[in-house]
Amino acid sequence: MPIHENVGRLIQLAKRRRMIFLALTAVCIATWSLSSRAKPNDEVPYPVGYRLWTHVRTVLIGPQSPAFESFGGLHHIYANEKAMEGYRAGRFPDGSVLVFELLETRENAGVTAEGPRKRVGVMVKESKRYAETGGWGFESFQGDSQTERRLNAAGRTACFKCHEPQKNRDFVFSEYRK
Amino acid sequence: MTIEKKTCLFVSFVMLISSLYLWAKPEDVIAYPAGFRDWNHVRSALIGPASPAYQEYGGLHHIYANKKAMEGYRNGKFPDGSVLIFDLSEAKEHHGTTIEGRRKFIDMMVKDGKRFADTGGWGYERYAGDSQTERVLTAQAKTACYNCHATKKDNDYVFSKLRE
Repeated sequence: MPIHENVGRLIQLAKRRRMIFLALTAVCIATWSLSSRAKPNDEVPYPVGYRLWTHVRTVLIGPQSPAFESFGGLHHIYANEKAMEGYRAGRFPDGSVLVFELLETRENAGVTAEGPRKRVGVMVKESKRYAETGGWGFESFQGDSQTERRLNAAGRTACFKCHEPQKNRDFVFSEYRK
Repeated sequence: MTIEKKTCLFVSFVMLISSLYLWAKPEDVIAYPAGFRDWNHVRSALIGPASPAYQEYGGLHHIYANKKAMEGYRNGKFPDGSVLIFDLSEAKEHHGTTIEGRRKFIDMMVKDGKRFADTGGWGYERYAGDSQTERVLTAQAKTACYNCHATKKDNDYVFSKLRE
């Protein structure tokens, strides 16, 4: 076999390898982008900086309340700017975030003070993403953690079921205390 | 002295006096903190009947701080212009749940090192209920505010701490 034929075959082989490599790369990129598109991030993000948002109202739920087991303690509601529009207009725009911050209480000599944070409940308004639950996404973060999520799918459905009777107030219970 | 000069002098004198009056008058008044409900929420507490403070401060209160006062909480020294609000509401209990009722009053502290030099740089005022005009503290009561807050001198006369 003449040398130049051998060289020609080697070049062809290298070309084929390059084609296979490029094709595999393309498949990888396509799979990755499709998977990230098919699995939209439905997770409600931690409401970073909510303590500097507007304080809406406060309630203390004591042992005599039937809600004590689930919600016992002192809770504050905080709203970001868009959610404040919602309180004023009755309809919460996309991007509204409401925080239900639940604290333990410490009683001493007739004074009930705030104790450690029990959890941070969050409602995020995104009409399309959360179309099945009134446009609101629900989540609850444990204690001071920004990553430890407390709700599974059933838990989130339970949130919505309880908020559902408030439909004419866009599923929100609280009212802004002036 | 010509009549023109006299008139001119008189007019300047009147202007000087009136401007001094306008400048001096606000000294007595600590303005209502419009929009304080949208300031930062510092902390809250419920003062019940078993507390010795119940008679005056009984109910649910919140502390609110403007931006400058927030700097104060962070670095321990409140700059001039800091305003702190103690917003007290009646506490209404029903089936184990305590909610906020009517506003009883708001107490406020305003930092102005020069203007309130005699009381640690802070001026004190109280507005009754939801009123933005009804100031209820006498000079004596203001001194009482200061005397109580003087125990917190190391903390720039502030009792509350920011809950993170």
